[in-house]
Amino acid sequence: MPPPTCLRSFSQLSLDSAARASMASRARAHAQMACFSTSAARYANPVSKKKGMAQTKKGNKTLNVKKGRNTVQDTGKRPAQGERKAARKRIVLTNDNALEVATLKDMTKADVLSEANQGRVLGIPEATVDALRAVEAFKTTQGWSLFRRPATLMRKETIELAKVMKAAEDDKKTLRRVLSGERLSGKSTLLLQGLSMAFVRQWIVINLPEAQDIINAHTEYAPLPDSQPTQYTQETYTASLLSQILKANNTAENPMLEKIKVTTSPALPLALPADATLKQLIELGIVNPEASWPVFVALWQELTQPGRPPIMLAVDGTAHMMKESDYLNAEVKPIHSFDLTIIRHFIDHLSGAKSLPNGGVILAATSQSNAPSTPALDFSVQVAEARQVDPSKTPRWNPYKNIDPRVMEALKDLHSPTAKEQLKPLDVIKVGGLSKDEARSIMEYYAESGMLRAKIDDGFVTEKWSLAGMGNIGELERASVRLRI
Amino acid sequence: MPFISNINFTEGTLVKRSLETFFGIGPKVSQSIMARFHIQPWAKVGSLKASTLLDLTAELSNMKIENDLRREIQDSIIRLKDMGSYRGRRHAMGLPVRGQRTRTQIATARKLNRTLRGGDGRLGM
Amino acid sequence: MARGELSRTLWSAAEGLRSAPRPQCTRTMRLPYRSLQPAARFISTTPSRSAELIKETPEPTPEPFTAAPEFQFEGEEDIEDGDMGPRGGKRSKGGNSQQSNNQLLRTLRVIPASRSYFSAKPTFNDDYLHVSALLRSVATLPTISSTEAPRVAWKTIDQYRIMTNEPVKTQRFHKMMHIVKRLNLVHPSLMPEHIKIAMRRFMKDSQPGDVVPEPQVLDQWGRARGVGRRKTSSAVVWLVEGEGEVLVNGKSLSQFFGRLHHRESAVWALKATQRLDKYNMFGLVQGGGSTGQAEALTLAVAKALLVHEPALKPALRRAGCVTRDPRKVERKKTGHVKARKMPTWVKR
Repeated sequence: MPPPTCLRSFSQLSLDSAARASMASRARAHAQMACFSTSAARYANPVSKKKGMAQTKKGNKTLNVKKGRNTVQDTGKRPAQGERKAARKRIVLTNDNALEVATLKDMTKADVLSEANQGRVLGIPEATVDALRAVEAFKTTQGWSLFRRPATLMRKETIELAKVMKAAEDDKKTLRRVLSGERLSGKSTLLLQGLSMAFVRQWIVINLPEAQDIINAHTEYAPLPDSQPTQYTQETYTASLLSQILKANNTAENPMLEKIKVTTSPALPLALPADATLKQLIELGIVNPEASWPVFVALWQELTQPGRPPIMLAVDGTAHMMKESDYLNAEVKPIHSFDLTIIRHFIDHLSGAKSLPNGGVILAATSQSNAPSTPALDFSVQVAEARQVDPSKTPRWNPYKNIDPRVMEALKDLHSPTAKEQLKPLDVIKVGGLSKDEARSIMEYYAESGMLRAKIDDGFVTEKWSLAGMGNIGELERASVRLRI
Repeated sequence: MPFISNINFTEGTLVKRSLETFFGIGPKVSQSIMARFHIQPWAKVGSLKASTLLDLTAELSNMKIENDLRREIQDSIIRLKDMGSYRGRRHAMGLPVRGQRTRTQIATARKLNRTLRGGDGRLGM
Repeated sequence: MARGELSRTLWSAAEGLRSAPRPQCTRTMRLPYRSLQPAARFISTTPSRSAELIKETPEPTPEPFTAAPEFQFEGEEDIEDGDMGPRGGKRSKGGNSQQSNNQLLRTLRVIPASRSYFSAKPTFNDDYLHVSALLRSVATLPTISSTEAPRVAWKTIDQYRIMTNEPVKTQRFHKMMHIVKRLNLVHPSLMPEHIKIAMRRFMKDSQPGDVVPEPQVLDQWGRARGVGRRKTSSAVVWLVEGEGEVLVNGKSLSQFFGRLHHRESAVWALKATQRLDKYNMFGLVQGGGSTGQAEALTLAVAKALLVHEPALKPALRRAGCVTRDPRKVERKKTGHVKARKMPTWVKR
């Protein structure tokens, strides 16, 4: 025992009779442990381990590096099957803590495509939100859960898309657009805006929410009989696509598919009742997945009959389509994505091989965060972007990159020089940064929702605009709403 | 409970994994079998149609797997031994056959190189 | 005095004795004996103090020998006139003068010019006496506080030792420098010129503020260029008037820096002075990691901004954008695990 402790304890012993017992016991304990000389202990032989007896643990915890030894079995309840995936994929579209924005107007059928909307934040109507949910247009990475209800900024690119849709609607044209841009620049959101405008305008909307899900070999596939070269159908995926089409396009407000009767006589493996509606046709495909592809073909045939509404066909994560899929054919060679019937259907329309007689828009959004390398698509998009700036200066092809000739052929309109038109059939919409007015508009919306507590003036807007990389909307949201310090 | 070649698998088992339980089927062979019958790599046994299961069974019955394969291997080794060749002797001694060093690291050879090779496995067919 | 200087001065003295045809000292006493080869009588082996003090920069070449100034001969011009004529005419005096001359020669001795000649550190002592005398002469003049006095980089003791070639003691040197620094405090408007000249002996060759960097100017396109460094990164920034667009290595700020913090620090100079919406910025960065690159950009932007608006310097200094952060990763040493960390020491 060190002397000061000794002295103190003795003095306390004399002073405080109450603490005597405890102090005395402590002193005794010290005395037992105290050791003035360590030499004897050092020179003593080490204590030999007793064989066959597990060593009891004394005192301190030791670092237990080995796996599986003495690990505590946790008895907590495991999440049910699919529960974690559901939590991961859950889409929250409301935030009860955010304020209602009184000035927020909804998209209406009359003026959703008008140019006067530029720079305004418009709410998405309830019915459209349900339909968008059905086609899985909302992503978990988007900030819908921050605001009271879904609303989007009608930015320059949106108006451009609205013009395209208006032209498709009026002149029954088939216009195809590839959405490209930086990371977080709002490509998927622009796709969603296109879909919602289509829903509001009562188009038929078919959305492939993620191209990766089609080609990553997680659903069944089977060769399509009588196809040369062999194509492959995906029964389960097509059936779920049909149910999604039905759910999204046959809402209570607009039971479009119930009204349209089957006019042609499609060749189906299953009997269709006479005088059936499209809804019945689709339900047949949902119930019998093995017949889903013929049903989809029949449905498409019906929808392209004259007098039917225009069609919006959209896909996100286009790059996944532009390569070989993870499926294998009978010769154990990878199947090209274009040989999968659903993708071939989409690519035929994107490349212009097939057109929509009632007019319509084909949208293909690229991704920067989840995209395999597809030099052909990248090159085509680069050429189209460069041509928009200056038609005489387009990038050269890099001969050292391995291109996919089928993709080059499909995107021929994008990278080969085309005639000058006001609205090209296939073009790129470059999703860039917001202008400062647009940035101000969206930040005022943030402020009115109570999610941004700052005075919105020119200096503040410019600061956030610059820090967000010249108006990148995702970064703007991150900097002003998500990362509030 | 689906049966493949008279073996019972739970529904949640991957087809790939269940095929690879057979002696003589590894990743490569299972991949080619599944590609031939258009089964996606992540398919589970429960999701296969009955006809596909029958096809798989028929395919497996045509292949030399399990005890047939074991017997063939054992016959080859016995042939080597009967010839009195060096390889046969090495097999009999449980030593490396192909000129590896024997000073160290012959655990695998001790385990595998015996005249009745592959004797343990799924024999209760 | 060290051996080199002594030998040099001796050599020059001998040279003067041998070759000089006429005395280099002024005559102070009569010289009766004319026939004798006139020569320098008083020899100084140390250079004259005043001459050296006035000299601006010490020259490596040996100084011309000069003797003590008080010595003066009469009839110097006679000796110069010719060899035969004057000598012949004044031969009658010759006998007397030779005798007295011998006496004179007996009394004549070589005396050093400096009184410190026989001390251990004659140059230093001379310096000390000189500055003390100077201080005495200006002691009554008004002074300014040391904070206001002109900033001077004084010679270090090592430099002084090398200059004088004498083992000057530290304490004595500092005593002298104390006097010199007191001289520096004399009010600049009243400072005599000779003191300024005298102080130069104690200043370093290069003074702070000698090298004035050329002020940066905007180029023909209105761009200001700034260079900044931090850790191992270096950045060049061009700043033009604009509306807040930022490109770093051809990418937008959000593409180049993933972290918001790095973006903010890259444009911090503009943000802190509320100039973010007034300028467009184009930067090139290389080397190092994200933090280094962002903070190298900070410094570069601040320097470029100072070209546009020099009045912002105090604000930028308050924002911490002006000073280059000199910290770097310390190098790893042999025998160490890291820069400082030692391997664990185990007995046996």
